[in-house]
This record gives sequence, C-alpha cells and structure tokens, in this order.
Amino acid sequence: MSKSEKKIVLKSLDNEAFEVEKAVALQSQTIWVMCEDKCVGNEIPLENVTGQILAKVIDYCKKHAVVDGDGDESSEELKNWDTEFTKNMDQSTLFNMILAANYLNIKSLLNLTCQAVADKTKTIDEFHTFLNIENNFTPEEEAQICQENLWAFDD
Amino acid sequence: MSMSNLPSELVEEIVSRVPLKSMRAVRLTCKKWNTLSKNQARYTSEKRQEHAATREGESQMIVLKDYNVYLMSVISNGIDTDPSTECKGKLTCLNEQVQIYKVFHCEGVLLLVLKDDMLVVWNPYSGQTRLIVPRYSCHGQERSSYALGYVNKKNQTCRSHKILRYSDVSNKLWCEIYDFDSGLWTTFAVTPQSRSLAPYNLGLSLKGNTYGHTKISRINHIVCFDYTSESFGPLLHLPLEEKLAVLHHLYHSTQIEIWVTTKIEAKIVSWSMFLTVDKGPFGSIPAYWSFFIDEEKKVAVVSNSYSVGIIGEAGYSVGEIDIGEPADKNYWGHVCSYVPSLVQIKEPLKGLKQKNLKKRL
Repeated sequence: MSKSEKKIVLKSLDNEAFEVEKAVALQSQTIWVMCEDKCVGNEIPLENVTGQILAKVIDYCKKHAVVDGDGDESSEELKNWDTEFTKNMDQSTLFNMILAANYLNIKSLLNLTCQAVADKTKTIDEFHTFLNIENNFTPEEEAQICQENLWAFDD
Repeated sequence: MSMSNLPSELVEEIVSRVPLKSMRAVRLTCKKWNTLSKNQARYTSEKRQEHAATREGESQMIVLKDYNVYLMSVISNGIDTDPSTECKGKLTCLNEQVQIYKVFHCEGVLLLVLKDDMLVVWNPYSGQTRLIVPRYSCHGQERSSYALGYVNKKNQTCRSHKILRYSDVSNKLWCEIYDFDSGLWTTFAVTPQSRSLAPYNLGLSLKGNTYGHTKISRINHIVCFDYTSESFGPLLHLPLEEKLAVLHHLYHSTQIEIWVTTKIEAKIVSWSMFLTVDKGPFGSIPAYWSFFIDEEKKVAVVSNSYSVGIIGEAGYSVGEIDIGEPADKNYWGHVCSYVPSLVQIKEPLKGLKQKNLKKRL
C-alpha cells in the first residue's frame, strides 16, 4: 500500500477538509462502509457534521486508533483521557457530538458522550435548565408520579 | 442545540444512563421522560441493565446502617489492592422520615421492615412498590424475622412473591406467610427443623426459596423453606446451579473455608470447596457479617456496615465503607449483595384500601 492510500480526506458540512490516517477514520462504521463500497474516492463528504465538531471527533479517533504500534496506551490512561475530553464541553457541543457519533456510527464515542450528558445532570432543576426540557405535568399528574415513586435511592 | 434536537432513540439512550439515584428526578422531569423511564423499566431491560451493570471488578450491595438503607458499590481488583466503595444512593421516602429495621433481598426485589412491622416490597430498579400491613405487630423489632421468596407459576409473566414471617413472642414460635396473589396472611405449623433457625436472620433466597442456618445438637445444618409447598424441608447437611455459598470457620481452626453448592433443591444438596485461607485479620468473622462470592475471580467479599474485605486464595485486602461510623455500636446493621433486575411485583387486588395503608405509615 502506498503512502497516499493510507490517508483519507474527510470533508465537513462547512467544507473544511481533514486529512487523516485511514485506520483513524475507519473507526467510524459509516466511513468504513463508504470505503468498502468504493462509492467514494479518497475524499469523503460528511454532510451532517460541522468542521468544529469533526475536529473533535478526529481527536477522539486518533487517541483511540491502533496505528502501527501506537495503540499501547493503557486502558486506564485512555479512560482518563476520555474523562478530560468531555469534561469541559458545554451541553450544546455534547449534543452535537452525540449526533455526530450517531451519524458516523462510532459506538464507543456515542457511549461516552451520552454517559457524559447523563452524568452532568442529576436533579430535576438541572434536567429542566441544562437540558432545556419543559415540565409539562399538571399538578395532579405530578402528585400522582410522586406517589408512584415514594421510595427511591437519593443523594 | 438542545436535548429536543435529538431523535428519540438518542434521548432514550441518555435517559437509560442516568444513575439510579436520579430515577425519581427523571420521572418528574416531563411526561416523555416519565414514560421513557417506565417503558425502559418494563421492556428494554437490556439497555439499562447493560449500563447499570457494573464496571470491571464492581459489585453492588445493600447496606443497612443506623436504620437507613444505602446502595453501595464495591470495586475490587483482587487482593493486591484495597477494595474501594462508593455510595450510590440513600433510600428515601418522599417527604417522610422513615426508619428501616430490616432488609431482605431476593433477586432484585427488596423487602423493607419499618416501624410496627409495616412492610414495603420495592424494586429499586423499576421503582415499583407494594405496602403490606401485618396482622399484628410484635412491638419489638428483634422478635420477627422476614424472608422474601416466590413461586414460579406457569403461564404467568409476573412472579408470585410470598413473605415468610417467623416470630418469637414469649418463647412461642410461629410462622406465617403472606401471599401476594391473594393479599392474605396465613399461619402454618412450626416444624422441629425450623425451631432453631437463627432468629435474627432467616438467611437468603435462591431460585425463589429461602435457606436459613440452624444448629441442632451442636451440628450446623441448612434448612430450606419451600414457598410452593409452604413448608420447611428436611435438614440439609453442610458442606451444602445457581449456587449457595457457605462461609465456614471454626474457632479452633486457623482456616476459613468457603463452600459452594454444586446442586441444590429443597431436599438435596451437594457441595464443593470454593476456597480456603488463613484467618488473617479476620481472626473471627462474627455471624452477622455478610459475604458473597465472585466465582470468576475466586474471591469472597466480606462486609459489615462499616468495612469491607476481599478474601482470595492468596490473602486479603480491606477497605472502608465511607458512610460514617454507626451511631449506635450495638446495632450491627446488615449487608447483602444486590443485583438489579426487572422482576415485577404483583399489584394488590382491587378493593384493598391503599389509602389506609399509607395513613398507617
């Protein structure tokens, strides 16, 4: 395999191009299928992902790729890296990452980002404010649910 | 960009990952989440179970301490490092302070004993509860012990749970059983086998039946209570699929032995040795300590309500349970292993006055 065949270009929604190792990009099942089908050349257009988000996805894939013996990081280190990776992302970025991971079909990234959202919010107020969800219960319905959930593990 | 931009399968993916201690909050967030959370509890068990399932080396346990119940996770990587524990939540009853005197675990369902022998049967995972009123109260929590088991009936999706109550009032023993199908208590005869059951602890349930420890003429035995026939089985010899483990240590020996069953039914039992170790720091393990085993790793997790130890072939490691020192040192609490499940609890028959039950709480 020549050097150029090992590289692949990913093009974002806003036409930003990223040249990456094939092994890095192929963690995405979606890209993998595209390459298998040979329906694309060396440049893959990703119509659902912006450059800003794609850059982050590529960072993740680079870290998690096993390229020519680079993949000898311990699982402990990877875990810490993952934690740091999502730690400072705001909700909006996290949701975009979830959508991108879903579209690109990168299972481990989808798990990581969904878990990050779930872990960042714990109370009803947080669910309402951070996740921007409207409380649409009537007082009677709310009382009914309280009654159904009298017992629970709490903080 | 917000949650509402996500397709519903992704919202579901996130909701299924919210920790158990935020379950009530999830359900009170909005209609959609309440439905999602309930549906998940009922139908898409795998997803939530997969996420709640434990990390490598993690096991969950229920700790009863100072009349409170905690969900704890123990993370152990064998005996070379000390086990660490993390509190995953404290049991609360909305708007009310309750004291819990006893707790019994049966395959994902907890039986909680409250003041005046009021009982709550609760699946922490699905949130389902059922309140049960005793026919009488012993007014002294040490006088009754309880166990939860079930009968597997054909053509029924829901297990028929039953509660065994074993009371010792003025040296008079009596047993009664509560049937979740009929909602009724019935008394039955105490047999010689059950007469000397350890009064503070009826043991544990396996495949629906309860196994307790009893000592007759200084010899240790196991007695099985069979919820199908509603009777105690014959005495089973110690070293007794799905398995029962027994921790055996003699005061005069330097060894602790753990045996597991290779076959167990109400009337027959056979055993194999799981592990043997020197007593080490566990000079003696008081009878009220709890333990469970991890067969894959060949370790036993031994615990009371303030510390936890891992025992393996090659030795020990000990860690602390960080929920504070017990306020009452004479009250020894209780620990049992916990495995989440979606087992349903039968709803009471219509006509039972749930409102009155609540008042009595």
